[in-house]
Amino acid sequence: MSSLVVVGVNHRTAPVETRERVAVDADGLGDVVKSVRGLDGVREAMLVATCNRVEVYAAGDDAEAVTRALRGFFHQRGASEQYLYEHRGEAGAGHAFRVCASLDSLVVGEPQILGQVKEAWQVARASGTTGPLLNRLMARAFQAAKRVRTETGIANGQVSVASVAVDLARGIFGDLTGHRVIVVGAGKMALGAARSLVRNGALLAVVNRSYDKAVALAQEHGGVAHPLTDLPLLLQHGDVVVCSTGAARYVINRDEVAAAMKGRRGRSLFLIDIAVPRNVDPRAGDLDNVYLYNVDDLERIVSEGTSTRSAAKAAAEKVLAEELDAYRREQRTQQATPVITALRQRFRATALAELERSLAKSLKHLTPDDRKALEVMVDATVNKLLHAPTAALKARVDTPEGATAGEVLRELFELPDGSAPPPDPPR
Amino acid sequence: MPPELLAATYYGATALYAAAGVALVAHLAGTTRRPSALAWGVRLLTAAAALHGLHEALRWGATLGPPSGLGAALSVLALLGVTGFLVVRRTQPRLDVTGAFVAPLTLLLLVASRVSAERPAGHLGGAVLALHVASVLTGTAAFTLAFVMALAYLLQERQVKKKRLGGVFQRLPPLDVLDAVGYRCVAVGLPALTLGNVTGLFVGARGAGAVVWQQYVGMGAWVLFAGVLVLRLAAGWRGRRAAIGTILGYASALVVLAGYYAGSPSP
Repeated sequence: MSSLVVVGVNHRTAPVETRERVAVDADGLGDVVKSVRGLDGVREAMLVATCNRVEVYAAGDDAEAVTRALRGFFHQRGASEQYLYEHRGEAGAGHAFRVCASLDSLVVGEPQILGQVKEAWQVARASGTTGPLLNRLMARAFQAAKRVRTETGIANGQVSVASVAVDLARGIFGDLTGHRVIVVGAGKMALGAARSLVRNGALLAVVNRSYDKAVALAQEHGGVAHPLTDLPLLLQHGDVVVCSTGAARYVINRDEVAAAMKGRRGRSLFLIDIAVPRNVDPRAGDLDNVYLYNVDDLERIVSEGTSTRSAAKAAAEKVLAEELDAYRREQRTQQATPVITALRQRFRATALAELERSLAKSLKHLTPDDRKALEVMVDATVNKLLHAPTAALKARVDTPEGATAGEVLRELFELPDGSAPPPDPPR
Repeated sequence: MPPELLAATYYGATALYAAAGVALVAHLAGTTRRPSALAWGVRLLTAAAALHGLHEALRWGATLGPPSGLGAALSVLALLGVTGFLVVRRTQPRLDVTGAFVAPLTLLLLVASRVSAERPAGHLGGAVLALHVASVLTGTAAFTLAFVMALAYLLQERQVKKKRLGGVFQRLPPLDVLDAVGYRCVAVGLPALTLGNVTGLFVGARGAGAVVWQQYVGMGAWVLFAGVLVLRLAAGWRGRRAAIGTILGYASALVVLAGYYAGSPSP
């Protein structure tokens, strides 16, 4: 019977330098997973590589051998022993469930990880390195992750200033494609928020007191540079303005915004003021169709998002426990299946052999219809005889008695191990 | 036409609208985390509209004519409004959640249609009068949708202004989408209401011989909606002000409709 082993490094166990060394790019993933599958003792393998984690899910008959092989793989790529974690069997399955459900992520509830694991599984499948254990595990883990996302609030709320900015901008404008984002200043948080908006299709303009700096930042982030004197005009044409200058007074005052709104013909304007002291006159937020958020607002929303996630996390853990329990039962039922199948084959083959012998001698006068009826009767008898022991074995798959009963049955009826075909019945 | 069949389709549609309203409002308010609540709400609303349509068809078949009383007019108005929503949502699936406003409003109109007195059929003779009724109903149905978008806009705008980015903010469509759809509904409804007002002058002149008060209210509603459009085009009136103007215009349009059927002398 194959055992599951997970070995890897992630954002909690290893610094970024180590994660960089073991990182695998998307183009090389197929080849690397094939090389893992080729290691001693590994029958199935799959490799998940993201910026926060690189981990291998593998299966083999000897869990010790598989673990040694996987640790060796990570050592070879430059991750020393102290950074590795390892999970086996049900603990490994539980880890897979948590990863897919984004409970093991740096930002709990982030949606990307599920897609990344799905991609890793697809690459492994396409490379022919997965088998029944990993395929079943991943199907269950994806199902569990879907339940967590739909039945808990794990995906609600925001977790960073950048994601709050994107969420808000989408709530105001919908699709951000073609909308203009203006960054005033050179604060890292402002540029991070602007980058997130640009990733969602917005166009970037950078305004700075130093035009040279604006040009440099615009080149770095794929935008257009403007001198500070262009700001009133940009307020008319931009949709989102992210302010983060070191100025000790307002860079954008209420009257400027009011004047810009006339030119905007009522189009909404979203102002994000990340600077301390503030760069935007707070009274600007009272204007119609102007939405002003300062750093306190954003941090409050971030913290609300985090606390919402904490509550949702407990609900998510409950869902995962249910799903893991279902997976465990399924695995144990599958362990009992070979014994039950072998037992049925043995009984049926023996009964049919005896019937054939009788049909060839004392019952050879019977018509084909009578013979057929006898075969049906033999099958029904075998089914009825084995119904009670089969049900009892299935009912005990979760218990040590179940495993013992399986072993006893194997020994008493000389059943073959695993999936090997049963021996010919005695003639 | 067996009256039991009319009653059955009416009560069936009412029950389905109520169920759709419960599902959609629960989804918008976040009292259910089941993602299927929205989909079920829209399905129930579609089924309710189908049954409602059957009810109207049966009634028209029985009376051999268009709505002939305030009750029937409200019922047709509700049907046109919900049908318009089901058509518009196909182009903007994010609008599905605004069904949380459409379903209760439709239910309200349908219930009101039952408690309002019917007039005997046949008094609405003449092409001008039929055109008048059809255009007023079509215009009011378009304004019903604009009204729904305006309500949703004001609710969403309040979330953004008050910095409440919880479930309601997440579930409602973006402000710009609500504003744009509301604008299109007004743009469609206004020509219809214009035609309704013009033909109303002829109907009024033929009936009472003078312009009746309902026609003044009708013109008032027309002015409000036209104002929303003109101010939007000329002065860039958008967002909150446009939404409030739309709501006032809709209320006036309902007064016209109610006044026409409830108080005006038979033409």
